[in-house]
Amino acid sequence: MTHATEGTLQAWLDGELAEAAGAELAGHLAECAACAAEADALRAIGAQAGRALGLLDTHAPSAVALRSVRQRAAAPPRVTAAPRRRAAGMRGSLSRAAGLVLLTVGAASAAIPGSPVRAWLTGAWDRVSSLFAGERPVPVLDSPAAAPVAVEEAYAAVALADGQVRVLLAQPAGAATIRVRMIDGNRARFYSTDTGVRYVSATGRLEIGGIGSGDVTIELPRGARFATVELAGERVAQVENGALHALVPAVSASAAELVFRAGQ
Amino acid sequence: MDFEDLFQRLYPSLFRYLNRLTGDPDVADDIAQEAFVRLLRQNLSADEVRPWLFTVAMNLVRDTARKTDRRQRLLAGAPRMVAPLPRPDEGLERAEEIDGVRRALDQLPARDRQLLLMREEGFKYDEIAKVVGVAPASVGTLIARALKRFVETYQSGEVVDDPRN
Repeated sequence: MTHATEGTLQAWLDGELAEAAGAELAGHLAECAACAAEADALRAIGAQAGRALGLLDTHAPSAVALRSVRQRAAAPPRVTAAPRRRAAGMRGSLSRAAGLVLLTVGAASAAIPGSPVRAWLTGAWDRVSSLFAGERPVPVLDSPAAAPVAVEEAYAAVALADGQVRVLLAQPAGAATIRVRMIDGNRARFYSTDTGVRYVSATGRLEIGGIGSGDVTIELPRGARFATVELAGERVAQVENGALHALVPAVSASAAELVFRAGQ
Repeated sequence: MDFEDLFQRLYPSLFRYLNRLTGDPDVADDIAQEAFVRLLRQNLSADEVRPWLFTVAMNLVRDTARKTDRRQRLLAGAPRMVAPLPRPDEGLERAEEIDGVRRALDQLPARDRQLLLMREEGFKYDEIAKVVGVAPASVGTLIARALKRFVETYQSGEVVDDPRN
């Protein structure tokens, strides 16, 4: 009697054998206790593996992902400049000369008080320096240099910076509902039904403005060392050591979600 | 082929596969989304879409692993160094069980991990062979051995040495 191989038994269990081969094997298993036992063992192992792997599963964010795919697909492709060879001869000399002129003009413009170049540079420096200084910065959304992104259905995710993230909400213009949830992963996310919402994001920081009277949902990563939500400059919620805390009175509160009302 | 229908049908499976593979739902979501964005530029038959998506996703996982030191451990098969925080709605026991599964999966060779997870997503052997890069006739044997190794490692909580690796 030729016993079935481990591979053949596995293929049979997975429905991969052709009908004739499968029928032949089934007949053999009915007569061979050893192969039948091996088949049972493989079946049990497969079931154990399936149950174990299922423990790793989390909710698949299909709806949000589909919106994001559409936004990504609609965005203009990034253009990465190919490495430029040193331009030879006259063409190279003219390019370098033109670059020098632009740099000189730009520096001169920045030196003029009130110039837009100066305002852009100042705003950019303020944003960068405030991120490292740990101070509460001037809201970037008020700066004309911020160029906030207006989106139809707001969705953004920011990565943690050294295990921390700050989400800063401007005061809503109307009566808004702010939900703060704790989620798996290592990014903070936000969603909003308010089409006027704008945001500016950087690693470890998300600033949201233009909130009218819609819903805003903030999701903070459970694994963050420290994650906070501030509303009009006041901390309202934080995640620390895997726990979500309300720092001001909430309309409703559970271990996984806080709901606040804000605005008029 | 309606893209939204395709997405609703395939995204959950791709996300589950990538989440199990990487252990990071954000990375899984990112890579799955990117694979679908790239799919929009393709003109594939209905049969080709699913294997293509998973192949592209695996390439993206490898690219991500090359760029990030932490994710390099996924391909090297080394165990995770940090246990996940227990969730408030889960007991510590369940959290430890989840961590045990993750360690057992991470300790498999990359090929075995891919074989197991694709089998769990219902792929046929010839599709698995094509994506993983093995002979179709060997898939049954490879899967049987990978399953045994995974379950033994998970149940014992120890690394099981395989002289073939």
